[in-house]
Amino acid sequence: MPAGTGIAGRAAGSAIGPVERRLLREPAVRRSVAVSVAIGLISAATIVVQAVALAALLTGAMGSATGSVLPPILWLAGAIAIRGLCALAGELVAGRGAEIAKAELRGRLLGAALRRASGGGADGGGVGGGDVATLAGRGIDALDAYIGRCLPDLVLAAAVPIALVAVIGALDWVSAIIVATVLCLFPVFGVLVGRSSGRLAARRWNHVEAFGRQIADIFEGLPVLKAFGRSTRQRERIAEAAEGLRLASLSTLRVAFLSALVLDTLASVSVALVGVPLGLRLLSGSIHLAPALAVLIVAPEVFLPLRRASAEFHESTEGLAAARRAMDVIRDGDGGREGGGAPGERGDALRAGGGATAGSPGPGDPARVPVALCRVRVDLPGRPEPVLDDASLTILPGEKVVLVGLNGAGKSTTLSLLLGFIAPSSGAVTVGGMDLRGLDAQAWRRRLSYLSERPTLITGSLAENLRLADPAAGDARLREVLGQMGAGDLLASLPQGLDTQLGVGGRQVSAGERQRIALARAVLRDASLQLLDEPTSHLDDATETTVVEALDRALSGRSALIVTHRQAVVRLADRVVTLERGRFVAADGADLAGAAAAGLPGPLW
Amino acid sequence: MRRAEDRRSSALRLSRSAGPPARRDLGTAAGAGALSAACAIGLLATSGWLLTRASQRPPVFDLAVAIGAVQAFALGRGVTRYMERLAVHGISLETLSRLRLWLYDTVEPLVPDGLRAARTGPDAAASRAAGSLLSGFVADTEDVTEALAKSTTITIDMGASILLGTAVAALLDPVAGAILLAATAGVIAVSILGARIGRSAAGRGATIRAELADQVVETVRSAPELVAFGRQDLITARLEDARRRARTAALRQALGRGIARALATWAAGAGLIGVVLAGLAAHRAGQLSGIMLTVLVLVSVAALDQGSLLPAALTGRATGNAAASRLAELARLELPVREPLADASPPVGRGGAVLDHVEVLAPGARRAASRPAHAVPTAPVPTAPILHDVSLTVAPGRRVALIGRSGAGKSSALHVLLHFLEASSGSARIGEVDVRLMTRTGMARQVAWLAEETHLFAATVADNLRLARPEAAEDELVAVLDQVGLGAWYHSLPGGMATVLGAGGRDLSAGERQRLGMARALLSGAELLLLDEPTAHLDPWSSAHVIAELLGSAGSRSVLVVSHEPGVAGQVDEIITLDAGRVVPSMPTA
Repeated sequence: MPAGTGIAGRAAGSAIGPVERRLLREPAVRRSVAVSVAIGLISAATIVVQAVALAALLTGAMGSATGSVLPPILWLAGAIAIRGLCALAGELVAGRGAEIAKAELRGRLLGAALRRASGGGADGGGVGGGDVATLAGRGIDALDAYIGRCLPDLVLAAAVPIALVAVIGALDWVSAIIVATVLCLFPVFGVLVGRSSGRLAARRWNHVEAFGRQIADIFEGLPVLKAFGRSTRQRERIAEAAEGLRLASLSTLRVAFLSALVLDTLASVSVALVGVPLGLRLLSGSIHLAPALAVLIVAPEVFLPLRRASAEFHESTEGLAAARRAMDVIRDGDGGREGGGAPGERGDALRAGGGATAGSPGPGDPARVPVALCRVRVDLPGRPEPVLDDASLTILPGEKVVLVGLNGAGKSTTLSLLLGFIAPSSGAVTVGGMDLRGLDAQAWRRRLSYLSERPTLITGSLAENLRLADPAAGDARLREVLGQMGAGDLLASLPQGLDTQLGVGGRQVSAGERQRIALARAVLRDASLQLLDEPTSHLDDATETTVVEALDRALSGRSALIVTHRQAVVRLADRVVTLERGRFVAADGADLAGAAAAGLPGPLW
Repeated sequence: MRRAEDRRSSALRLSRSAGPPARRDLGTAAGAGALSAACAIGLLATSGWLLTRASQRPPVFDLAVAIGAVQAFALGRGVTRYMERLAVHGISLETLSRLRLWLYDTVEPLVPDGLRAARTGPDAAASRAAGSLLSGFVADTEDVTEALAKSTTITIDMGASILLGTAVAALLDPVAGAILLAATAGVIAVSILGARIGRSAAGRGATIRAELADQVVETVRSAPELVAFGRQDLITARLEDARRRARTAALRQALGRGIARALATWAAGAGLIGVVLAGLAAHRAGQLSGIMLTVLVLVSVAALDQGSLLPAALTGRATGNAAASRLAELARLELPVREPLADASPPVGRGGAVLDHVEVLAPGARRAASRPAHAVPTAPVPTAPILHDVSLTVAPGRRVALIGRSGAGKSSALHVLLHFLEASSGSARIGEVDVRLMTRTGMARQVAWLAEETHLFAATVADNLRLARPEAAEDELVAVLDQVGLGAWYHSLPGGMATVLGAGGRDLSAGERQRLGMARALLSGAELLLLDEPTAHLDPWSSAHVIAELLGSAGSRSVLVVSHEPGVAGQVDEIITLDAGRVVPSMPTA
């Protein structure tokens, strides 16, 4: 929803259905909602008890008998006590249930997100990974009210009126029929009003949205407006758009509130419809006062859950949207794993063994045996053409291969294949002639080091971040690799040196610093095959030169596959390879741009 | 330069600072609300009277008035509530309009550098680009008015029904009236207390939830590397810990809410029992008829029912107040520059720019203490100046590239020239005139700016271009599009110059977007172009090409370009390197 459309938006957003069914199929959600509904029903029962007790008290008082008022008072007190407890229990159940459901959903979302993030690499499947992360993080919190209050209230809106009509029926069946008739009228009226008002509201809603967009647009473009000396004049446009928004919203609301009007009116009219006949029947003596009074007190309560649910529903749009996105992601994630025919079969990055079974043979050492992609084909979701098609590449022991190519050509996908994050849909990745799929993934990855295209740091100290690659490395070794990768002065500038906290996601360091830390981390690992994705991005020319020299030394005796678009990195290469229509082709290292562009059908941009 | 100081801000106070609501509308809302409450109470009272009186078998005639009243109250209830809702939303929408203008007036002098120290809503933290930051504040104005609408409605409803209910009860039996008043006061007190406790718990909970969310995002982002290093166990353990703490916090919050709600229910219930007992005593003493006893009890039930709405209203207020205090904080931000009243810039741009021993202090340096607790960085707060003794000259017609690591102060140098940032010492001049003596309009004649990502307004191609020069003729627009290499693109547009761009309009590639931005800059007629990483969002191969074209289209204008692009070197007269806010001595290129 674009900014600028809130108030009217909540009211007009009622066009979508209120229940996300897939969410209700989650066991944790279902349990929580069921308990909440049970508590709601008990609470409704106390209202009936209260009504009957009050009616008994009043008729008792008016009757000639001076009989004890104590029993009904005790019933009344009991009902109120239990209702208070229901309120307390209701909040606890809602809070706990929402928390459990969120934890469960978050876990599954995270699983889906991890599969995406590590499965597709940065080339394709990683798209949207950031959104999923945000959804699993903050987005899910929007479910609190939805699971805790909104869903139970929706169920109660169906259950409580029916139960109360049954109770009224037990007291006086004529009134029950009247209330039930009004209750049935409600959806009829609701549909009639809803349909005509919905169409009207939708049309006006477009105006509201347009004005909202206009306002947000001006605010977002404020720096530009200011630079061109136009910002003072835009104040009038904001005023105009704001006034337009006000009028449009108001006319939307005029229509949108009609359904509330119908509900309110039906609720109060039902009291009159029940009350007046009751009065006339009392007159004729065909009913006693006590049940009549009880019916009168219970009658408005029949409609209360409906009104609460409709109010709740207007506020649930955010939670509903979050639920819908969450279930979409989870379904996609599951589908990607289960769909046997789905192209680009994914390895489950979380499962320790990858695709391998226990007791699989240990993988060969790339320092001694060649690593090869043999006629692999990789399809990624959302890409009509295979990313790699009949592609073959061999990395000999100790060989440094530099891979160049345009964005999206399949460079990062190649690294994902070698890391075992994804498996080819045909062909094979082999280590010393053995298919990677038959090898123990954990053991294989112990032989690798990896620098991602977008390296990440985790919350913790600089040392902890580096030791991700090699937990046994001593401080001296950490300092040494940092120095090699041009991060010596960075280390010196940090107040607590290696123990300096880098903040969540390494927020406290710049992109260039992050790159150098991640590089140091990659070379710190004693791995015989180094997979480096854009090792010198975010670095200035001088640092790049230093880093390339250091890499030259650090990589000696190891094999490496280095993805790059920088000319300076090419001097590390024993061989330069480019990707052309999904295949690896030998390239000329002297002219990188030309080599990368060779595979292009059209102009660069 | 510091503005109004008031620390705590409620949604109500903030909206008042934007102007008071129209008294007439407030009157309508309150009147309709009171009528609606009267109808609700009247409905129960008259129907209770009707039943009890009918049970005494009077002539039908005696009941006629009551029957009419019951029907009138029943019909009046819905209509008056509808009127009340509309009136209240009318007020809040008007407040929203005024708040938007207030926001514009507050933010306009701050943009863009004055907002660096701004505190943002929970969702804006991830993307701190100036644009999304501002739409976050626009959304905040909505939260404020929405909370206001809700709390106004409930205040009116509750106030009216409590007053009416108590009045009716007191007329029938003073003791019962007093009990009813005490009980409603109790309900209100308990609810407010609960809300207050809940708010502090919610504050703690929000911090913990934010930590958990950060951990989750971090996990997903770092997953490939952690799996590659075989260390996924590490992060799952941390995540589990954060999750447990979030759960404890949530449960504690729920317990607080539950206790408050239970206490409110019990207070209301105790009141009802009190009223019943008092009424029974009065009835036995012969002071209250049986019929009136029924009326008394039913009125009390109706009045006390309203109290159950209070907790929800108070929760809504908390959201509104959080948004309000973020907005109020904007008003307290230091203005980054002082705009001159009169313009001293020459009528025609001359090009050329000078930074003369410029120093700029970090905007957050003096305000570090006021940051929110969970945002306190674990690394040192940067207190070093953003720019330190920076001098550079762009002679008329020359092209200078500014390079350096991110955070080296390149953009800040441009912002000093644009007078978005004030030099704490030294001076910035464009065409020999100090930028501090130029109004925005005057400045726009001298200099045009192309940002990292060009903002295109949801408007036509022509309007987006004419932003730079409203009087430009259509063939001028076409010419300038040709100049930046968008000629073919333009001819492919279905609506030509009337094609709508921006949000909801035609999608542009990052390259097209920047070219259009350049066209706008060229059209402005300014002789000095400031290009701030114009190809930052392009892939490396396109970047080299686009930047060459952008520079090629600049003609004889002076250019100061910030770029990482190595290809830029061959197309400028001079390269200046910045590092940690200082100019690095370097060699001139050919």
